[in-house]
Amino acid sequence: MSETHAEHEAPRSFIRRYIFSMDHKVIGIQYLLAMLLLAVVGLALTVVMRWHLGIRTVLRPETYLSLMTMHASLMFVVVTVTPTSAFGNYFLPLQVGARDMAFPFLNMLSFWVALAAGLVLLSSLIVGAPISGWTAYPPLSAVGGVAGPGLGLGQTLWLVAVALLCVSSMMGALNFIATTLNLRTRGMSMMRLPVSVWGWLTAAVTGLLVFPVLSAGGIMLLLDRLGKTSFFVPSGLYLGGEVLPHQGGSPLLWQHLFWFFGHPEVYIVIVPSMCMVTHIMANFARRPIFGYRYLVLSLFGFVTLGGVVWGHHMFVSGMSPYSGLAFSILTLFVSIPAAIFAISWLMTLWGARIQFRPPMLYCLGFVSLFISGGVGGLFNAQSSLDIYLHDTYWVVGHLHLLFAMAAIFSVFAAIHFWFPKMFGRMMNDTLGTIHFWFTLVGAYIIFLTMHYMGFLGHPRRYAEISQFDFLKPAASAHTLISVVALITAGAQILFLFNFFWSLFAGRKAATNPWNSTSLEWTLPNPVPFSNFERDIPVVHRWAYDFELPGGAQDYEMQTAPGPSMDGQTGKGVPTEKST
Amino acid sequence: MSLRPWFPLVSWSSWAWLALLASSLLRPLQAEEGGEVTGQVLFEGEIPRPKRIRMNADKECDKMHGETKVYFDNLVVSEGRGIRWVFVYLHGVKGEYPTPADPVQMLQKGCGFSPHVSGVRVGQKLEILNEDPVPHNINCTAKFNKPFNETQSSGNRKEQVFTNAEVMVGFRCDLHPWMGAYCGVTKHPFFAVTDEKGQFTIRNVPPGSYTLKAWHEELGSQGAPVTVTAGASQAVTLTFKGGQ
Amino acid sequence: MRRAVAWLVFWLVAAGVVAAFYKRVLWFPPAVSEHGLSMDSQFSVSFLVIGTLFVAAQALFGYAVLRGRGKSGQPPSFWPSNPRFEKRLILAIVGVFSMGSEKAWANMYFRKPSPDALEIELTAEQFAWNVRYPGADGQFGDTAPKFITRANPIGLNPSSRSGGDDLVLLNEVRVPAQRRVRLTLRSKDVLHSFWVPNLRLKQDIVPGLAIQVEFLATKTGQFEIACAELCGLGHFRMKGTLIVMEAQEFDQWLEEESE
Repeated sequence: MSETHAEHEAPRSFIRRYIFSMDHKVIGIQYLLAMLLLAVVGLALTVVMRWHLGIRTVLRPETYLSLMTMHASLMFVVVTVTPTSAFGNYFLPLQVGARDMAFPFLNMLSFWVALAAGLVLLSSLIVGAPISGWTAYPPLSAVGGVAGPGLGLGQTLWLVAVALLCVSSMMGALNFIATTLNLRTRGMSMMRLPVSVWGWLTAAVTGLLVFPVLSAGGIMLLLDRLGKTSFFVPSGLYLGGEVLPHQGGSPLLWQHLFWFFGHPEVYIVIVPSMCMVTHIMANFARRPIFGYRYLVLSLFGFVTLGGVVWGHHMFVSGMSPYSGLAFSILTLFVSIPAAIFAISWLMTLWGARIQFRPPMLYCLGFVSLFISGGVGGLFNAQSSLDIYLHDTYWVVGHLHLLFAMAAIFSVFAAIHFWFPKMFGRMMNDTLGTIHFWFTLVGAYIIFLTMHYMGFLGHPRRYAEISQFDFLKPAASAHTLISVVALITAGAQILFLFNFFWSLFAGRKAATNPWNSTSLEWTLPNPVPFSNFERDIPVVHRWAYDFELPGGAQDYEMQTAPGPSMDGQTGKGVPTEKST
Repeated sequence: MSLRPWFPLVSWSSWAWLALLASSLLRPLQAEEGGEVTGQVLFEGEIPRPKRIRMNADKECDKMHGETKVYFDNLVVSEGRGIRWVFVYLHGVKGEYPTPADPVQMLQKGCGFSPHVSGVRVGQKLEILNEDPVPHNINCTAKFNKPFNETQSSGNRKEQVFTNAEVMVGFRCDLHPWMGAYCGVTKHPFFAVTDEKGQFTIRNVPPGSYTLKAWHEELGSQGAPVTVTAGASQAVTLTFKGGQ
Repeated sequence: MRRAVAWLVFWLVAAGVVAAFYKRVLWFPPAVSEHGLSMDSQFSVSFLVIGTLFVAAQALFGYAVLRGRGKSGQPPSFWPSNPRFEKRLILAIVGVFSMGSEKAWANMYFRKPSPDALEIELTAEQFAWNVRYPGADGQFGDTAPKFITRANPIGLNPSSRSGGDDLVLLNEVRVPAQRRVRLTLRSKDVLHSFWVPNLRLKQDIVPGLAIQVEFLATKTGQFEIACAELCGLGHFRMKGTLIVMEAQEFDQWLEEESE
């Protein structure tokens, strides 16, 4: 099957080559640039919101809520799409040794639908964005403008964007799974895959399981809004001086559907992030990763547990307290696969000779944030404590540490690490290091302070805090957060500058600048259209043979024959036909 | 120098002059030839006790009123059984009537809408003004016009023009759920809102047969035929029955 | 130099966190409910265990990173993992938390409704709390959305026999101290959440459902009620007041209001 791609010539026209391209590498870069754009918009919204909350009240309450909803939605798309669709697209075929994705046309379609989703989302910002938050809980999101500004056309566009994103993600997921399972080169057994590939595969499997649920929920909500159905709207609602005609729906149904998607979604984001970090970390620690087999097993743990813990978002929602009990205990079990990863990182680093280049710094930052966010999760996983912490700034801080900061650190790591292969040039180390420290310290100050505001009982999604006496102490904390947030946001200019400057003026990169082991580093810069010019190389080992005893250099490429530490020697030998 | 750019200005200003001339000719004619509809809207049944608004729900609203008790304006009946805040208007009016340039004002004052009921013409500006130190919300639940729903911060002025006739357009402040207002949007100037005694007057009505319609927030609507003759005043009494 | 800056930042942050703990900046408002006390003790246990875990994990990680600085030429050393120990540690954590936490949870939810609890109904709307006491007959009159007007915000049926003496207030909940109170939470329009930090009580209010919660306030005073579920543009202004009074005072107040 891997020969199908080679049958067609590289397209000559600019449009087919760089715009409506079916080349996974071009699509990966398209994804990356599109998400960079959305991230910049999302960050700009943060600046406005933080100015409003901590420095001077400048927004109307509904404007604040609109910006908040859009910030969350945009960043949600960014963190969902970037780790898998941008880097996975570019590097999964390279790392498994394929000439392209299994379904190149579907791949192209998936990008353009995702772009449409992003644009529709941005257009909702123009017509008046919804104020219902990224969770879009009905009835607020279901009954139209009578419930608040932006809940008319803005909310409809928002839902259309969600549906489009679902379609795009499902197409992408199919591609990732098919490519990983069917297009591996000879010798690339499943247990020799780079961990990053496992991460992308896990995210794709999870996505394929849960995105259909979100799209079904989204369409039901659209029907409630446009078709006067009543999936989520109960009888006898009184709004704007009238009783609404809806009958018999349940707002809790949406919450179940949404979080049945929403919790695994966290793993769709964080699992590929963790796996990319593991992969990059091994490279800069010059160590084989510790417990590869356990990591793979714990990925299955994440997928399975991810599907049965959604109720921990709903402890105080009015769901049965008996369900709360079950969800609480199941949630605590998530600490097992998470701890396996943490221990693996620790072991990989222990006694290693670490090269502190920017990709590694971001990986270390990721691990620190992951530990903090994960340990904090032990609080709100307890249903009894969640009564207090639910819907407070604790949750905002917690989710940002993991879902936002950790995820974005993995993206920074990946950009710095793979930039040479994607663009043929190196990014600047000094700028990267400065940017890393600003962002890490900023993130900790901002989001740890938010945890404290949760102890105060500060509810989230408050446009102003002037009304409540118990929120008075939070005012100075808001100011602190705002100042730090503005500085941290400003520091992102360093990254953007580094990125675009290096694109044109960075030092020319060697074929394998990091002395790395996986297949993409065997390829010249720029990577040719069909990836592997002649035959696809045969793989003889896993990607983590660093510091092999008795080796001439401190690493072995996957294509190098010889004994390995992967425990796979003798299995999946080159003579065996892989599929 | 070409005169072309000036043409629109010249032509528009000549039209304006013509319109002004026409209106100055027409206005006295209407006044002379028009009739008048007056009357009263009465309440039948046990007069309900006025209900107090619990202003202390918002401390700042409470402060504005001091010791004064504030009552709901949804059903205000005088001792003489006249109903206040009834919107009366003529149905079946033909012809075009110029839209006044002055806006109709609706204040948010003392954590209430003032006036509670008003009328505005299609195309005329409705100006909603928050005179309170607290923010309010305007949730306009129009059905035949574009509805809107937004925060009205202290001192803010919101201007709105309605493009279709609609009796009545509802307004609420969701921050203070006791606050409500209604505005009738009509194509002609022949409407009125009853006063404390339930009385109303509609002037300068062109002679002819109409239906006089009355709308009340809680009591509903009703109508009565009325024939207007030039220079005469036509008195109508409408009666709403109270609840069960 | 870089190292010095990093350490400086580290110690500054650490000192900030410790100071914040010590000074109780942004700390829990005092608990004034019975179940709030058991929740607070579970919080304390969690702080101790999770705090230790947090510091230990970060310190171990930091040590691993710092150890790996600049020692080239040294052969890699492996720290043998002890999977059995790790497994036990994790299971112990899960066990401790699930037991302690679920006990507090059960305290709150798995108890029989007290027969002598004071019944109060809370109907939330954009953006206010309608509070209803059953009046002298101890029974709530029936309500329906079609009866709702501005002056009848909860839609009390005008012909309801037991509804005539119902007392309806706005944004003000008065309860006696040391007596169980059963709140019935309803919503007229969208989701809201009844949140009183001092009571350690948060419960989403779902339109279409009548959710009951019980609490017992132990101290008198005025406490703020906030909405904790995004409900629209006035979410941040949806404020109520919980007034806990001495039992006698409360009875006297109820009598006066019911006239």
